[in-house]
Amino acid sequence: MRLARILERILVAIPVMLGVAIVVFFFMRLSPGDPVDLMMGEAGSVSPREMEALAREFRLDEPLHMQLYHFLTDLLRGDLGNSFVKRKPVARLVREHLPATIELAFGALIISLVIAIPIGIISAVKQHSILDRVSMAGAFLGISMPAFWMGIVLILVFSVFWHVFPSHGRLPFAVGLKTITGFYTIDSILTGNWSALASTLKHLFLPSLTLGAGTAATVARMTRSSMLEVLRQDYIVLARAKGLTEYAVVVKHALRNALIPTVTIVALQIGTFLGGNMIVETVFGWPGLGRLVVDAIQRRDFPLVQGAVIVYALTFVAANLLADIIYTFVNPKIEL
Amino acid sequence: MKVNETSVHFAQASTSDRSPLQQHLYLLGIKLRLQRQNMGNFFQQLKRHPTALLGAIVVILYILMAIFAPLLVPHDPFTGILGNRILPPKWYEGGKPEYVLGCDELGRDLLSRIIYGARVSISVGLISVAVSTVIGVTTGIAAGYYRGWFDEIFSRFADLLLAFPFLIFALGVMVATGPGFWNLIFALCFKGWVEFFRLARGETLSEKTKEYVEAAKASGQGHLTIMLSEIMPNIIHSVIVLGTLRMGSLIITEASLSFLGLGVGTRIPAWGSMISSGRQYMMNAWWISTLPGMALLLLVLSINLLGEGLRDILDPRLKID
Amino acid sequence: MLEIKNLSTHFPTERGLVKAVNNVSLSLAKGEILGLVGESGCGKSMTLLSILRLVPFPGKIVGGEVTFRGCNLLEKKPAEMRTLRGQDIAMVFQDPMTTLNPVFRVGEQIGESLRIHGAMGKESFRRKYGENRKIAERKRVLELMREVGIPSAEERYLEYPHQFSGGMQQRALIAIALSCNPKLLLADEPTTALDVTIQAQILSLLEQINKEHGTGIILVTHDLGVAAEFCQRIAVMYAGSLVEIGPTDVVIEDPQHPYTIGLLRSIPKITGKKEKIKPIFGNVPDLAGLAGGCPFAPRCDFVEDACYSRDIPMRQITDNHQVRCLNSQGQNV
Repeated sequence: MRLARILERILVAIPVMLGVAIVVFFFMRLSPGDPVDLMMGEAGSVSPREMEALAREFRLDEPLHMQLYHFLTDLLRGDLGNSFVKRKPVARLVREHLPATIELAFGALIISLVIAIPIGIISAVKQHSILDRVSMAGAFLGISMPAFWMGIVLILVFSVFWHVFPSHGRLPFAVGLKTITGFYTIDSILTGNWSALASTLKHLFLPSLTLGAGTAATVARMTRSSMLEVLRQDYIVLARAKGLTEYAVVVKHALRNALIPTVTIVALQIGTFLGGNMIVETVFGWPGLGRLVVDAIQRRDFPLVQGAVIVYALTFVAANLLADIIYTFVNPKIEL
Repeated sequence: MKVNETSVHFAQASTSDRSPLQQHLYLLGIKLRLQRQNMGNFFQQLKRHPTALLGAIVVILYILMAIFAPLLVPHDPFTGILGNRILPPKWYEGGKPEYVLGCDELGRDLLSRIIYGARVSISVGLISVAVSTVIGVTTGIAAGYYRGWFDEIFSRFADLLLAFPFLIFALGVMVATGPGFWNLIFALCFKGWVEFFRLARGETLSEKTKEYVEAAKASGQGHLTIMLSEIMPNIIHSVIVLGTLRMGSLIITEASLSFLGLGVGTRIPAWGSMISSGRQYMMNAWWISTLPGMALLLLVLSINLLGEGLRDILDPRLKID
Repeated sequence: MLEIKNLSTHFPTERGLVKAVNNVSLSLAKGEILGLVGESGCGKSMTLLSILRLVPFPGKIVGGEVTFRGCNLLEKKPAEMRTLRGQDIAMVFQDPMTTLNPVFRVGEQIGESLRIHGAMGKESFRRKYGENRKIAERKRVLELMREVGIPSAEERYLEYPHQFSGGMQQRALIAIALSCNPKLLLADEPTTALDVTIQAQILSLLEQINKEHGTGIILVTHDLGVAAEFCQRIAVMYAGSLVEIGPTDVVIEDPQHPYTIGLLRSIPKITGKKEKIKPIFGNVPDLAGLAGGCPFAPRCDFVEDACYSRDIPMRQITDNHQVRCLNSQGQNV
């Protein structure tokens, strides 16, 4: 039954993904002005012959529906076209920059969960206490905080004034890490390069904190409110009447129920990470997908922007799908 | 007893003498009176939410600041004086008393630029929320009311748009259209209406089955009248709450786009682009990028305080704790 | 076995102090079934929760004694209280649909009490179910499930609460309550949420448990008929106070308090002469605004000025029949 539901979700996601690709395609084609002009942008000095070659390269001389057809079949093969500026396949560029982005997203996820869930629980259990008030005020600040500004303030405080954390990049060249997977934390452990690991983690901390802050705030508020809701339930009274300690009541009986909505929210927050990573990677000079896109925008590298937007949207759809699937696993009622 | 009976008769006679339109206006009058009472009650309740009241006051101050920016600025925000490049705020060593918050990298007065920056944030926030609300609520009510192909098309389109993270989508639109004020509004509203659509559609679906709508149908009112004067007043509270809460995030999205260089354009001072350009001078002039951010944070914080207060007062169902 | 003396539980609310349990005194002998009857919101459930010291925030037990097997529960340390809960005193709740934890399997929830109290390590259980605690626990749970009448216990052991019907859920809850062979069972309207046919089954199950294990039961119900059928004694509560207590036949045949009389009149009877059902007029009073005097006075047919003037004491009518009414004959307690 659970499998059937998961399959159904996956089947529903397929047309959505197709729709996403088509929306992106039309947006890029229907934008005002000749795409080639737009692509050349400020570069300007391109001869008509080169323009023609370019138009052929991007199949701009074909009718729109054929363009769409080629675009979709290429996409199915994992071909996102070629970057105009970097003269490389977009898919390869994305692949190269993805590990840094995933590493950052994981850092943000871990930091936000490690902070947010305990705070949410304690705030609910000790409702109206000073700790509750302070952390909920903090969470409120967190949901109102623009990420780029927070990043700048963190850099000012921790890098410029105190010199505790680096402000820029993933790892200094001087450390000399041999890359295997592209995930610097994993690579440094694999090669036993502990100084590189320490440096990687140090570089990771501020960007992760910035990216995770909004999510942490949302998750803390969510955990608190669902915990408050759960603690009012009859089965909590029964758990106490069984003779359980208050700790066991909260951690075993209440938490399992309270985390059902939280887990779903966390998976949905991946969307926030995707949007936020462009900002955070720009602020911290983090060489990931977000930086790549922002660079591509500034250089008018159209195919690259298009490919990256598709990758983002598909990841987002996949994340929502994942949220759905996780939900079926944490909520036994779905088994019906 | 007797008096009551006669007055009931009188009331019945007086309503049945009216034309349907008059009768409708009469009932509408009762409704409006009830709403006005609610509004009185609303201000009473707002007083009991001091944080929401504070938020409302700050937001109003920001709006006034945006409107009267040309009268308020102490200096020209567009042209700088070379000698004032990265001038520190006045309480710092080397600061000048007439430049309260110092100057930016081109020697322009920071306070004046922050005041002008409120114009972009406030107008983008208000206009994009207004446009999103109008589009979303009209299509949402119509979709929920008529169902059928209309609902199907809009719902599928909404689902499709929801497959994009907001910032990425807005960014894609901005890349396609280029920077500019109305392009920005377009980019924000293109996806912004979806949440209002879903809210209005869902509420309409549940309101549609209630007695008062049935009664209106039975008394022969047209579909448009029912949607506008029966359903709309009943979902407007939720819409106001959502609109307020969305405004904060739309303003952040606008600032994020400006930060990435895809905002209203470089010539108009916007907080996002000010923060972005100040980043290069972070080491020796922290104020250039932090102070506009402070203004942004304060605005968004106030809007959210107001929004959560409104939610508690107008639509407690949406409350999370 | 259980002796409650002058128990009071108060709730400070925005509208004033709510005396949910007001000077309640009652006792329960070993193996006895006592019916605690009253309208909803009269403090019956709070009396039970006060016995277990599980009164929800912001409520507080402000006075009295709850003596269980010679010890005052209100003076026990929290840890001592926990060992009593679920082991010696167990509770069955009103709404089985919301009382089982939705994310744990039913067998696991029944076994939990056994684990908390280390029941499987006890001599008597070890002899009966064997040394291996896990296997013993499973045996015990299956036995309990069969005892309370859950069919195909082996399969249902692994099911989740939402896969159970309401009646089966209530049986599972009774199994949880029975798991450690409690001396005292507090049943808080165990049948209110169930169909009438299931109600009778659950009640006879409770009766059977009482007979077989000698478990003392306090059955809280708003249905005087149910209490009359299953209980040896009946206590009637109104607005936080006990108004009448006595053996079932005495309370039913010769009720002294106007409220009890009213309750009896409002039950439709199938047998006997034709009588009109007489409802009690007026509403349950707002507990927050309760002044002194008899709380029933505003709805009482026999009200006198004196009823409002002071707190009414309990009066002894016969050996074990007590009434809180100025109109009744008898000695103040």
